[in-house]
Amino acid sequence: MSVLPDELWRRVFEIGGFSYKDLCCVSITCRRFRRLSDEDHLWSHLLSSDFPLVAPHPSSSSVTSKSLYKLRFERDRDKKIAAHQRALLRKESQIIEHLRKLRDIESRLAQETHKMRATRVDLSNFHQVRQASLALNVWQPEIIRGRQKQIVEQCVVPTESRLHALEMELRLCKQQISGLEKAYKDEKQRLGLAEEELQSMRYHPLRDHRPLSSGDAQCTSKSKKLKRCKGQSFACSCFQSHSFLLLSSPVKLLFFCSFGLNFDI
Amino acid sequence: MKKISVRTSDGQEFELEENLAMESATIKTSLDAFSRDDIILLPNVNSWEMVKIIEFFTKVQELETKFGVKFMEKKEGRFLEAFQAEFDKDLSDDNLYCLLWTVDYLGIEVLLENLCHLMAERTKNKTVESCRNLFGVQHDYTPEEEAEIREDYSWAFEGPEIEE
Repeated sequence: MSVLPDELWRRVFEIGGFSYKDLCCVSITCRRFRRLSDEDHLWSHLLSSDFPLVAPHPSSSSVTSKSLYKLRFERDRDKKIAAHQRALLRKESQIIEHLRKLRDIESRLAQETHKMRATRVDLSNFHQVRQASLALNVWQPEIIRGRQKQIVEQCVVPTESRLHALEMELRLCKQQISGLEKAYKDEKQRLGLAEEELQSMRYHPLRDHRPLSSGDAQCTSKSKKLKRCKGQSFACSCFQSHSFLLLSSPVKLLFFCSFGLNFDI
Repeated sequence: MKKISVRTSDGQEFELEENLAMESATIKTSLDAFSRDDIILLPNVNSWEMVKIIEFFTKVQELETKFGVKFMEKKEGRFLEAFQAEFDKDLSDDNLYCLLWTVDYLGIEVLLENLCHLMAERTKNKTVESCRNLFGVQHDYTPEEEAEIREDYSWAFEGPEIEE
């Protein structure tokens, strides 16, 4: 198999239309193929096809096409990761805003409800007074009469107008509450949507959702898996509280891991 | 059209049309050096390989008739994918290697290019282990080299990657 001469293999690699990943794979197989697939013309071809819009590097003979490719690839990937993380942050702050609004509505609802109850109590008192004053117009047993007189005399404000005002207030409260409830529902819906969007932004089909079972100890031996994560968007469950960290290097991943944080790998 | 006779390593004889035989640089050189009536000996070529080569030529001629394109003359690198796929399915990896080697030896450019393409297709989108199996090579890095490689290539792999 490997008895094919180098020139033939070179031809295979040239003709083949290999991607950067394929070339890297071939390179990893053994020394000979590393040499064959590392050749500059293969990588400069990839450079010009994958990163055509990037301005050409000021040529320096010490920079191979392959290392240049790697550089551009990483920059590009880092850019994408950064953009994705910004989007995640925006979405998260949107959610926080929704939650804040919901809390606000809840507190106003509580206030209005409290007010409504107080108004109802007031109303019922005034109804009592009115009933009492009406009853005084008809004949009643003395004891009852006495009590009713007491109720009427204790009330110092004009009953009818107060009743009217209270009824208005009650209606207003109910209106407010209904309005607030609707606003709450709407806000809740918006929150739900935003949370769904965040969820789908975080989703990565290749990632295993097993949480690390024994946390810290296994971390360093799992450096391979961490490297696997390197190119992915980093929406780990610890993201919210540590969102200021841009996770673009394995060192930082190891740092995270050593704190035994729950990680979606 | 004059026919050229060739004899493969196992003694079998084949007849090729002259213009097709001339596609092989090696045969052409022999023909130029010797008489066209002589049988050309090809001790490095197996009969099954010869069969494949003739099959290739036949297919190309069919396509040329069908599409009116002189593939051979234009040195058209790669043919229609359907043809390639058909050529591909009967060839085991080992056979592909043998054929590549033979065609390279015979110097049949057009066929060589297609076979290289086939080989490339078999190499792409594979894991490192599959590539090693395909190439028939062994992992020959020292532990230091291996660590260096992991570091060097981690940027390229996001999913299931370098094993071991």
